[in-house]
Order: sequence, then structure tokens, then C-alpha cells
Amino acid sequence: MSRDAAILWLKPFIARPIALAGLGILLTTVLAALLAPWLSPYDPNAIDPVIRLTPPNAIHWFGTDQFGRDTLSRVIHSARMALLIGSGVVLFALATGVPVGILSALFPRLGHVLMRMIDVLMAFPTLLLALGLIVILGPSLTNAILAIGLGYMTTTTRIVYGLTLRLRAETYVEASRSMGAGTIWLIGRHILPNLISPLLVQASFVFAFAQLGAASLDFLGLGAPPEIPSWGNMLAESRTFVTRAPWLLFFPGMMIVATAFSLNLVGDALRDRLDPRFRQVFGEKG
Amino acid sequence: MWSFALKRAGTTAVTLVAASVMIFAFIHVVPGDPIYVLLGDTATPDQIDALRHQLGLDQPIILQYLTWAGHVLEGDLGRSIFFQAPVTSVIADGAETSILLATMTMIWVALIGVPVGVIAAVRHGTWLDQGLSGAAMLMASIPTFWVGLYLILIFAARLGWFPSSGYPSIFEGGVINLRYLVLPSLALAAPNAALILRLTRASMLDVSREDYVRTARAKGIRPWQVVRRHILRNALLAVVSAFGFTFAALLSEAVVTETVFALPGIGRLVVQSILRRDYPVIQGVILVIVVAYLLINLLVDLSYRVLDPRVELQ
Amino acid sequence: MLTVRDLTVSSGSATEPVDIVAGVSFGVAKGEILGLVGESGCGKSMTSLAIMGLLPQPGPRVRAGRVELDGRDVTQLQPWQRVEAGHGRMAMIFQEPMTSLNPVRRIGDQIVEAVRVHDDVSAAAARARELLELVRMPDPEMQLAAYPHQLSGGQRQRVMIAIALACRPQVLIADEPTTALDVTIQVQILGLLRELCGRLEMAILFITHDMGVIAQLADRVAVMYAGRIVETAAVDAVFGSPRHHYTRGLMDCMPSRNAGARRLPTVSGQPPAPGTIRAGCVFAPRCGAAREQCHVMTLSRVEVSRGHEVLCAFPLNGGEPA
Repeated sequence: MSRDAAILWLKPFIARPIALAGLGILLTTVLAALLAPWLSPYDPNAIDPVIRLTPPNAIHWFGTDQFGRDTLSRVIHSARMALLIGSGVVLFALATGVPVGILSALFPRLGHVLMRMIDVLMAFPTLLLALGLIVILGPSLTNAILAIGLGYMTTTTRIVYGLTLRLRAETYVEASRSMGAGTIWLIGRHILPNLISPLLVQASFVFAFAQLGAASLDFLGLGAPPEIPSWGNMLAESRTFVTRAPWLLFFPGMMIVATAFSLNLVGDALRDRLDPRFRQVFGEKG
Repeated sequence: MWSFALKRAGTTAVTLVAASVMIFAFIHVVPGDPIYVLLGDTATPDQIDALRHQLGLDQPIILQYLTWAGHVLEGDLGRSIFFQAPVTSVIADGAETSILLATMTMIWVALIGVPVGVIAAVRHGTWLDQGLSGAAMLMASIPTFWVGLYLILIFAARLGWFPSSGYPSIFEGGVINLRYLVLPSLALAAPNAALILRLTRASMLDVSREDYVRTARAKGIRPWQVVRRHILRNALLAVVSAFGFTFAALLSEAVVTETVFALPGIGRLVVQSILRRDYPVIQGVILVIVVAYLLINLLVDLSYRVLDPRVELQ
Repeated sequence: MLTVRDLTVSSGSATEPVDIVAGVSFGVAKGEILGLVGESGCGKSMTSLAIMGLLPQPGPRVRAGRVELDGRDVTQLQPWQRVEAGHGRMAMIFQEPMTSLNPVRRIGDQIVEAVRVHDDVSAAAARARELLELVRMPDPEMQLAAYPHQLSGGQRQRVMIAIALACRPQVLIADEPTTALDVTIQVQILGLLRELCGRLEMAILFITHDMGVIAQLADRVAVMYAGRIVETAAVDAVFGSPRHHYTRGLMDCMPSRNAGARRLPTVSGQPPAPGTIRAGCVFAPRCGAAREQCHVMTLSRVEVSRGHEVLCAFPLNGGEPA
């Protein structure tokens, strides 16, 4: 990315301090995930019954859980799971939604069939679809990603479909079609480059929703295996001790909120700098 | 109007049939032989053969689907392995809680989301608007179960204002039992109110840019009358459809909240059935929710048309 | 009846205002139609919205100048504030009759709503009917119950005029009211406005980009360019001997004046965007007769003959440069 392009992308954040804060929180989370082993003061899985359910103090900043594990270390390590689930869901939604959306828009006959199938999938509420899939595939990390991803594949497809239809109708695309441009060239030259910005917006929102979806699955015991530290798992475990150890509820929950909120802020800021024609596809006009 | 209604009902029917095929297929793709799934692990070979024949599993798959669909149309969703009772009656037991919970949630959503959205739109561009819109985005970023757990911690455990779990039927304990649903409905309302708030605001702003709003202002009527008579009604037309959609989605979104508050609703039934591998119940619940979801959306679409006088021409 | 003095409408920040309308002055008398003409983007619509108090918010604002209605200051007042202050007799009709009426409310309700702002509630329905008759709406009784989508474009514009007349306006602002209509309907609506102007003794400010419409309708013309009025005169004077080079250019573009021409002449170049305007005459960059001083000197309005003002240092004389 050239310097000018970088400035263009940063502009919506500079104009909005709160969006900049969102970007900051997000980068912190990414750093925490990457540097987890070096950042966390203790082994996240080290059990020490003597200090179990210790409130936050100078040694254990976020306190300890029912096994005496250090909450701060577990919160930091959980960032990895959050990032993994989030990027997995986004990748799945894009990898399926983009080709299906583009092809549906370019080939109306195929599109008619595919979009009807998307309609059918959309008849299933997202969480229900995820639960059904988990039942079929069994609970695991990969399956949680697939299950959540399927729900956002539908919205991504619809958005890509709508955008591609608009792009296709635009004169320059018409012109290059009439000059005998091949479909692949058309997609690569005219459609994909124009989809990058709106897809970045969609990716931020999907990433945010994936955090909430994954937390719900974890909480129900149908997501990441319980031995892996994740914010959702931590909350599920904290339930029993809510009144005795409220810090176990507070810190992981705050992390989910902070991550989802900052992703939403970033997505919102990016959407506002989108071309108005594209903004409509996200249901916000003007 | 009628041709539109027919067309719209037609698409819904097609979607419904396609969805039912998927739901039918569900029981065939879950791990293990559907017979074991239906009978449980303790079945004898004789029982298995008898059931296989009885269910027509020795028949071609298309015939199997038609048989199943026929049963469904007659109101027979099969039997629960765990409860040893018809799935329909198991679902009916949870329906009261789920419907009341969704209704109460929608009341909060309407009471919070719409007026605050209107205020944000009227004060468009001010600090108040930015604050409210930001708060809405924050609310949409909070997991409902986390809100639920905090509500329990504060209003049930600390203050003791509301019960923290369970729900005895209002038909047994009277309307006072609705207090069991106050905290869960508030938890569930948070993200949905945020959604409706943003939608109301966006819709109000859209409408306020319309030429006819300028005409109304040119007449010399007061600003709040312009809002009330010209912007609000047209803006709410768009919000109405989101209401139906939200209500339908709530029936399943409540899964986590019902678990947190140990409510005997359909959502908790799904989760418990998953853990119990009670596949006929899962299948039945998914079917019921999808049907409800599609029908509500159909109704909303049609009522939306009725509310808008422009359809007379179509 | 309507007097506008040095009206300046600006967008941008308070410290760095960008003038969209820069010091516009004119007056419209009772029973007179003033045509405000200019290319799209020259600021004529902004001028009308500023006078009416309908500038979009957030958006540009009136930074300086004064608007007087029948001698009373109504600058910066929104319509409802004018009504409160007792100066409510100014109304406006808009370009798009298709979208200017609320699609989900009956015609009658929309007229009655306007009547009630000024009149007794009890007689409002009868008055709405009267107004529809006044604008020569066919079958007024039935149309009261109709929704906007059931009416044609011309009928909707008649409804808009009826709504505007509800306040018994002394001043009516019409912002390109016929641009979106068929030519035959356009003629009817223009005729109606002309008739109402005389009968109700209104002052009409008629905004258009179409010199042909001006020729048919207006008594006097104000030509606007880049947020400034560059020439004001009676219609005959402007069409007979335009004094500003821009006005001359506009008239050369009229099809009727170039019946034999194979290709219509155009005014070459683009008007300057607000904010890019520097010293000197705003039209100089596009003016065929511009001299060196034109790009630097400060212009002031010159009265070249009685009632004929022009903003040009070297105005045309009888169609030829002085």
C-alpha cells in the first residue's frame, strides 16, 4: 500500500478519536495473542489449590480461579483463541461468500438457484444453524468456526452479490464486456478491486459477531474444548462462583466486550468512508 | 395486493419445503445410524428391525421424506428419546416460556429502542446523538449471557428484587410469575434494543431528507409536529419489519439466556437435547422455529404492504 | 414585497467560510414575477432555501445579509418561527412534485395541515376544497381523498401550489416547479402561476435554469453566476440588449434564437467551484472579452440604464462591447 493509500485509510480513524481507540484496543489484543507466552506472568494452566479464588492483588492482578490459576495469564492466552476463531470465521465466510456471490451475479441462471439456496439457509437463525451443525459435526474448535462461519457466509454472499450486480451494471464494466473481456479478466480487473473496501467493512463486523457467537458456544459447552483457555470458557466456569469471585466474571467478559466493540467501531468508521453506492448494501443510506 | 400476497406466500412455501428437506436430512447425517439415534444405545436387534420397517427406513429416501413430511403436516414430529413423549408436547411445554420471554423482550426493545432512536435522529450530529449511537454499538457488543449474569449478581443476589432462575407457569402461579422473566428479558433486550435504536435512527434520518418533509416544514408547522406527522410514521414503517424479524429470531436467540436463567423454554430444550443426543427433539424444535421465522416474516411483509397506501396500484 | 440585501450563504467552518451565495440583493414587488436564472450549482436554489429558512441542517447557513418580507425582518427565521412572529405569508413550491408530497397521507390532509397553521380549524376542510378549485384541479372533491401516487405530475404540482396558497402568501417562491414536467403541462402550470400572481397580488420569485421559461413568464430577471447576481433588468431589456457577457452567452444557447444553427453554441468552460474563487470578476476566466484588469479588480454593481444593473467593468452595449 502506498503512503497516500495508507493515509486515506487512516483518515476515518483520525477524524474520530473513538474509532482510533477501537483500533488501539484491537492492536493490543493482537499483540497479546502473539506475545502471550512472554506477556503472561504465569503459566495459564498451572494449578495451585492454596491460592484458589484469590481476589485481584499485587501478585495476581486479575485474581485466581477455582483451581488457583492466574486469571490474567488465562485472559491473555485466551486472546489467541479469540483471534483464531475470528479470523477462521472471516476466512470461511469470505472464501465461500465471495465466489458464490460473484458467480451468482455474473451468471443469472446459476445465480437464481444459488441465491434461493442462500435464502433457505437464511431461514435458519444463525445460532440455531450453528447448533445444528455442531450436533452433526461434534463439538470442536474447527467445527465451531464452520458452524459460526456458515451463518455469516449467507450475509457475505448477499452483500457480494448486491455489489457485483451494481458493478456489473456500471458503464465501464459494460464497456469492457462489450469489448470482449473474459470473465476472469472482468472479475480480476473490475470486480475484485472494487470489493476490497466493502469486504473489509464486512470482515470487521463478522469478526465482531464471531466473538459473540464463539463466546455463546463456549458458554454452552459446545465450542472450544474446556481445557483450552478462552474467554467464553472462563465465563462458563465462573458461573458457579459468581457471587464469591465476581472478578472471574468481570475480566473475560470485558475482553469480549472490548474486542467486539472495537471491531464494530472500526467497521463503522470504515463503512462511513465507503462509496455511498456501496454503503446502501450494508443497510445504511447516506 | 392479492397477487403480491400469493407470490410472496409462494416463495415462502418453496423456502419452507427446501428447509424441511434440510431438516429431514439432519437426522440422517448425525453421527451414527438413525435407528440407534431414535432408539438409544440400549435397543435390541428385534426392536431395531421393527422400527426400521415401521419408519420405512427400508424405503427409498424420497418416499421416506414424503412420509415424514406427511406426519409433520399431521402434527406428528416423532417421539422424544429422553422424555418418551411426543416431540410436539415436549415443545408445547416450552412454548409458554419462550413466547412470553420473547414478548416481554420485544416490549423492552420497543420502549427503549424506538424512542431513543428517535431522540438520536432528532438531535442528529450532536454529542447526544453520538453518545447514544455509541452506547447502542456498545450494547450490541456485549454477550447476552454476560449481561444476564450481572443482572443476576446485582438484582437477584445483591438486591433480591427479582428471582434469579426458573419460571413457574403463570397458569399455576398467576401473572406475578412474570417477575421471573424480567431479568432474562432485559438481558435479551439489550442487543436487540441497540439494533432497533440504530435502525430507527437511520430510518428517521433517511425520511427526514425526503422532499415531502421539506414541504411540511415549508408549511410552517412546528418541528416536533413535522417529526410526529411526517417523519415518524414513514420511518416506523421500515422499523416494523425489523420488529417481526427480531421477534422471530428471539425464539432461538434465547438459547443462551434461557440456559443462564434456567428457564424451561424452547432454547434450553435445544441445548439439553443436544447434550442428551435427543435428536428427534432437536429436529422438531429447529423445524418449529424455522416455520415460525418464515411465517412471521411473511406476515410482516404483508402487513407492511397494507400499511403503505402506494400498494393499491400494484 | 420581498427584499433581499447582501444575502451570503456559506458552508465550511466559521473561521474559513466558503461562500455559496455571495452578497445577493434583489427585490420583488407585489404582482410581479422575478425570474432568478442561472446554471445548476450557481447558488439559486440555496438562495431560495435561505430566504425561506429551509436550509438543510446540518449544512450551509446564512452568514450575512437581510431578508425582508413586507418590510419586516425575517432573516434566519424558519417557516414556523415566521408564523409565530406573525410574518407567515411566504410560501414555496419545489422542483419535484413526485416526491414533495407525503406518500402515505391523503391530499386533503396535507392541504388541511397547511390551512390549519393559519386559519380556524373548523373551516379547514372547506378551505382545502376552495384551494384545489383555485389551482383549477379537476374534480377537487374526489382528489381530497386521493393519495399522491394516484395523481399525475401536473396534478401534484397543482396540489403543491394549493398547499402554498394556504397561507395567503404575499410572496411565493417557486424553485424550478416545471422542470420535471412535460412541456404541455409546463405551459399550463406557468399560466396558472401567472394568473394567480395577478389575482392574488403575490410577489413571485421564480427560479429556473431555462431562459425560455423566463421569457414566457417573468417581468424582471436576475441572472446569477457563481453565487452572485451579475445582471438585473426587465425581461425586455435583458432579451433586447443583455449587458453582461454571461447573460449574452446564456441567450446564445437558447434554441429559439438559433433556429438555423446546426449546433447550439455553448458557454465554454466550467463555472468556478465555491471556495476556488479569487480576486477579480468571477466570470473573467470564461469571458471572451476579459481584459487583464478583470482578473484583479474589485467589481461593483453599475446601473447602466434605469432599473438595469450589471456587475461588469466593461459591459456590452446594445449587444456589442462598449
